[in-house]
Amino acid sequence: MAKPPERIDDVLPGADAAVLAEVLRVVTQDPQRPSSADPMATSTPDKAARQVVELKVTKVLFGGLAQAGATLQVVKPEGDYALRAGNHGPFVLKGGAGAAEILGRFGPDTWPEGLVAQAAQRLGKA
Amino acid sequence: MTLRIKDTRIRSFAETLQRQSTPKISDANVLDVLAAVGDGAHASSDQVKAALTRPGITRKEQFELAKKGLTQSERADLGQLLDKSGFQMDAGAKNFLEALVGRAPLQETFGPLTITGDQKNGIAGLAKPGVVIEAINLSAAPGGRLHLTDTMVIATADASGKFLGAMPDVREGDLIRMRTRAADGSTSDWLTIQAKGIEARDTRNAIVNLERMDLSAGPDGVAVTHNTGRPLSEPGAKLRFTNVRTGEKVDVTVTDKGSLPEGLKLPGRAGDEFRVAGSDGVNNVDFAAVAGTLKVPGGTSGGNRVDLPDPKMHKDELNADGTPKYRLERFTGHLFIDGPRPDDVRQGAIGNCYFPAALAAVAAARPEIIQNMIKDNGDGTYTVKFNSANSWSGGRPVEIKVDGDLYVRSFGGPIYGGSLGGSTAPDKMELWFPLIEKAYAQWKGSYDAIGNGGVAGQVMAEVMGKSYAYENLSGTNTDRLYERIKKAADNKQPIAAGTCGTDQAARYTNTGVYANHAYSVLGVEEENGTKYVKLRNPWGQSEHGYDGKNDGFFRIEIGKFTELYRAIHIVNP
Repeated sequence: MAKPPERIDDVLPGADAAVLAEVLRVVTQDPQRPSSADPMATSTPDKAARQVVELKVTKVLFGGLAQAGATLQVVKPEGDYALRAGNHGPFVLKGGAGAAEILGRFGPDTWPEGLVAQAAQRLGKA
Repeated sequence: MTLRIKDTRIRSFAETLQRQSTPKISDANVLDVLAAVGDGAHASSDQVKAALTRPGITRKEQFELAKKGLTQSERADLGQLLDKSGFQMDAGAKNFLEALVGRAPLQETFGPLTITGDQKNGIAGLAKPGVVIEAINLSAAPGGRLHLTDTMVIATADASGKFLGAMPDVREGDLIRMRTRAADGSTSDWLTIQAKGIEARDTRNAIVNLERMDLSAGPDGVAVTHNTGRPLSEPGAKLRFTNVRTGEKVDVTVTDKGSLPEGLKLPGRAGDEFRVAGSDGVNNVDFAAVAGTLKVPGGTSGGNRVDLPDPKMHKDELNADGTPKYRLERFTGHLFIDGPRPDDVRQGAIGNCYFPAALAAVAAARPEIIQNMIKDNGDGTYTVKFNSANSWSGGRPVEIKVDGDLYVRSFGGPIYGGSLGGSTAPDKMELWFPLIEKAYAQWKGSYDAIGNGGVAGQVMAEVMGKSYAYENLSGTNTDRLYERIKKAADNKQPIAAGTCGTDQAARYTNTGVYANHAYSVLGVEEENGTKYVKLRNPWGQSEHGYDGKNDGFFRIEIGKFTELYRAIHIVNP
């Protein structure tokens, strides 16, 4: 089922910040909906449940949502991936402190840091 | 005289001659006898005949070819030809037979012109005293302005008949055609040799002069004609014409005059382009290096007029009133640019990873299946063949007809499946994958019907017309799995793999492998005792590990493979 990552140029204009961060813990997680897909399927329409996670920011790529060294609670929406403690990478975020949501179909695995930084410069975000 | 010849080919040769008014074993037809003698477990008679008539072959080499397959029984047959047939014989032919039965040594020189030794220090040989030796380099001539009769004098035979001549720009393996010219202007027959001893190896491929070919479309294909008296390539060279639109290939052999076989026709139509590649039999034998492209005149209008209904977009790309959010655009590029390859395939913004993963797996293992499943109808439509197959049955053929319209993004390029590695412009993009995907959507009902997950093995079965095996990897033995994949890959059985569902998605983050996703399995490999599975992500990017290229191709240690992948699907033989 997994669709490819979105084009970063389609997503970044709607983003408020991008940080390099590590997941410190999963704060809450909605119940996972059971799958009703063909058990032989190589991909299904199922989605991983919404989570709220705490990030430790190690570097700010752009935006003023958090400073390096700060912790931040963000929402991982229902989608194609899930997070657990120790996951890390570039997180592109939309929304204000306390209500920010992670953008990108695969969270920190959607785009490499270099691509986010380049696009941010190109689009006047950084 | 009744001959009791045991070898069927020699007997047939003799019987044919006996029906002639003046049967004669000539220097030409004796090669049929040599071919009949030279065959055996190592080579067929036809293969020996081809070797015997190779340009530049010497009498000694011909003799050795025949002798290699000579049996006692055939020796007796040759004795009958010599002693009992009553056939007339050219001196050279007779000497071949006598040498083979052991009655006389092989004479290596006959006729008005004999070349001796290699050509390291020039072209040396024997001829009648006083004649001049004329020569032309057949391998170089197609690149210049010479006709094959535009020879140069390279030497004059001395009082003992010996000569040593020099030619400019003769390279190893070049074909040199020569004859003698006497003081009264009379000339001998042509003799062609292949230059030897000049360089360590033959590195000059056959020249292919495309300007000397004309293409014209007709009702039964594309005629290729030679538009000048000058050679277009060297005699014996192989030329491959590949129709860029259909991928069809035609191989021909350049004639003794450096021309094309008479009446050459290629499958194609006006407006088609043909890639032309040449090989001298030593260089470019896989035709990878292309001499250039020729276009068939005409065909620029009216070829893309038919408009068929298109499958509806995925529900995510429909407005509330059911109209599509994206526009359609007619694509008119070639179905195949360099044949179907797994790296042509790019999954679009639709949840059907199982489909491109399956198609790329088939393209890797059995590209000819892809090549044959889609046909350009020449009117802007394409017919795609599937099979109503499943895991236990190959099913029945199903034909779906679609046109070249694809849904496109506002900035260009298809929103669903596309092609990688080249332009996505409507007149240039390689079309086989997006059109097969479109036909699949048409068959199943819409892009929505195919865009919410699926079974890669099912698609491979529907493409191949064969059933498939599903193997769950939970607790599987990695050595057994390695051998299973290796055997299937060696046997050209397409393979795909799927990861676990999104309920286990957290296991995947930061691994470079994605949950709920299908991949093409391209085989296995072992390095320093570690076993790997080779895979491709149908996105054409995003990989496990870093191999320096983000092209979707990667390998994963087999233990990790069984951790992250839930099952493999293998098309049954």
